[in-house]
Amino acid sequence: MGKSGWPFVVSGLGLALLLWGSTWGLVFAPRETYMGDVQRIMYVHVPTAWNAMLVLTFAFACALVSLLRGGWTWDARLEAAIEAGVVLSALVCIQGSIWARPTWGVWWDWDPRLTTTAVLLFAFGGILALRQFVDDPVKRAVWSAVAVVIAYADVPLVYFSVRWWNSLHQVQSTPETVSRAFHWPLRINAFGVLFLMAGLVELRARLAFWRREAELAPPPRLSQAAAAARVTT
Amino acid sequence: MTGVIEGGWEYVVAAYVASAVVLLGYALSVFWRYRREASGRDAAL
Repeated sequence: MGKSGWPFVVSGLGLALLLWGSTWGLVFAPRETYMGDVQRIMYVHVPTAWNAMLVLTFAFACALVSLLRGGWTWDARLEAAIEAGVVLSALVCIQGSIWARPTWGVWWDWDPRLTTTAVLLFAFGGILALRQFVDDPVKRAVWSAVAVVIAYADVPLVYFSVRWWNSLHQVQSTPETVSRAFHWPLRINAFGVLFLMAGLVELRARLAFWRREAELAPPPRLSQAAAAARVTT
Repeated sequence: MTGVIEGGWEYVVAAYVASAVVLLGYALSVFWRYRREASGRDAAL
């Protein structure tokens, strides 16, 4: 894996978009008729949720490629995507909890959407912990890829939970059900989180790849002996 | 009871601050770990 600087540029662009979208959502977007100013939380909550599912879908793809083709590059990308997915899933739970208090009157409820999201957070957090406990890099790569394929089954459950079960959480909005005045801050922040996480996942994947290289390299004494043997032959 | 939520700016501020702390904190953590590892590799070469 190379060391080009594009992830820094993409992450910086993501942060700039987030600043722009959040300012629009907080200052210029109109007040929603029923939820009032509390609705402004949506401009950060919804983009975080979309990107959490997106990055975990990328983790699922990395797991499949890693299992089918092997190679440390895909294992490194898998590790990076799991970590980013856990961070975004935790943030979704925090933002959702802050939104739930003034609208539902509770910080948390074991409603289908919230429960499946909590399962997602703990499942992928567990896989990240599993990677820390397994010393053998080959077993670590295979076990965590298999675990990701199994845990990913929860992602469609999170998405469809509001349609399949009677949920406190509202059903997904569409461009037809959301006023045009609310579209732009939502879209700008969605691309902001996407660009920020794309850059961070690439950097984190390089980091994981270099660590794997160091882990798989022969011990110094062995490599010195090999070098000495090459010199004498 | 009108069904309309009044006020609530403290929740809005809390959500945006939490988002900024988590996203910036994670970004800084990745940048810092990347810089440290990259400079260690450069030194080893």
